Amino acid sequence: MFGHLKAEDFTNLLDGAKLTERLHAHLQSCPQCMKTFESIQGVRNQIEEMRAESAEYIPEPDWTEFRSDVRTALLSRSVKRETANRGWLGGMGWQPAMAWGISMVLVIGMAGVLWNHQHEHLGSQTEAVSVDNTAQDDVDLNSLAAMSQTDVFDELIQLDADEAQNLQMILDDMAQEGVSQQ
Amino acid sequence: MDRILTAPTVMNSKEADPDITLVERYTSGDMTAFDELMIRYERQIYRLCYRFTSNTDDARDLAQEVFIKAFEHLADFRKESSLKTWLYRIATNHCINHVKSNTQHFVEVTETVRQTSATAHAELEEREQRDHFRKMVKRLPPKQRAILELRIHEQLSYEEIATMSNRSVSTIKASVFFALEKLRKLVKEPLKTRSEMKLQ
Repeated sequence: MFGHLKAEDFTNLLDGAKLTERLHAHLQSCPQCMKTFESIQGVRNQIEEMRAESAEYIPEPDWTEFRSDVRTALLSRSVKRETANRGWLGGMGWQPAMAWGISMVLVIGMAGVLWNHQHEHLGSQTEAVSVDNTAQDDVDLNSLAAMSQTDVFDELIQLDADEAQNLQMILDDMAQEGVSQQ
Repeated sequence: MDRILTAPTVMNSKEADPDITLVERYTSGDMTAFDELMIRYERQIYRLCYRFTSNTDDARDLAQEVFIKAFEHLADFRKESSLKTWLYRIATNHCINHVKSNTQHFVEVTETVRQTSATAHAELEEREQRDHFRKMVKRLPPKQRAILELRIHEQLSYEEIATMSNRSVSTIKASVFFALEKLRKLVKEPLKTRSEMKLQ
């Protein structure tokens, strides 16, 4: 037979709701739907009876203690969570830890930049000094090499009489030593 | 029956809901709101838990867990449903999980009852049938059992249960029917022996 009651219709019927005329007519003429309804109604009535019985003798706890236990558990869990957070952040919350970390990175970065800058400056100075020294040495060598024989004699010419005499004596002694060696 | 059908549903005016005011007081640090909220719902939640556990200690522990979880997440309560519905949802989920993890325990209780009923006096037959019915209610799949508990024992409206479970009212009504139908079949079944239970 078509048009059987749906699950929802049975529940409405159990709750005392009125069916539409079509469904009501069907229920009256369909033994299958009527049987289902009656058996379900029996179960429903048994549950209602059970409810009425159980409402009388459900033993209840001490409500003050019950609330106190809940409050204590909430506090305890809250403390545990806080401790767990402190455990790996070293006693700091997220924001201070992050600020601390950023500061450290900045300080290290600045120090690195300064060190690098300073190192580069010192390097250029050393190079400059070494370049200067090389130039000085070159100048000295150049000046000696450039000094001609004439300049030496020019200096000799500038000797006074005593100095010239002493020098002459030295030269004579050297000449004599050379002769005797031969 | 009419009373059930006309049970108040989710409040239209959230500003007038005293629960919302209490929640706001609690989340802003007013600890006196804690006791007020507890007093409003502790008995209802405990009784729901008791119906699932049939044990005062377990029911108390379960109900306390419900409130601890609720208060820990009270700031997340979006006020889209009533606080009552929200609390019942947490409680129902806890109870369903409890039943799922204690299924074997219920089987053994059933066996004890069977042994007792075998020696029961004829005058106690009616009582025995009621006990049997209770045990069969406990053998319902947890979600079907929860729907019957919420609807028949707690007398929540279909709209409230629908809000709690994110289902339509039609689905909830159909679920009530299927739960009753399942219970009818279970009650018809003869009690099984321990060995039969183990084979399942």
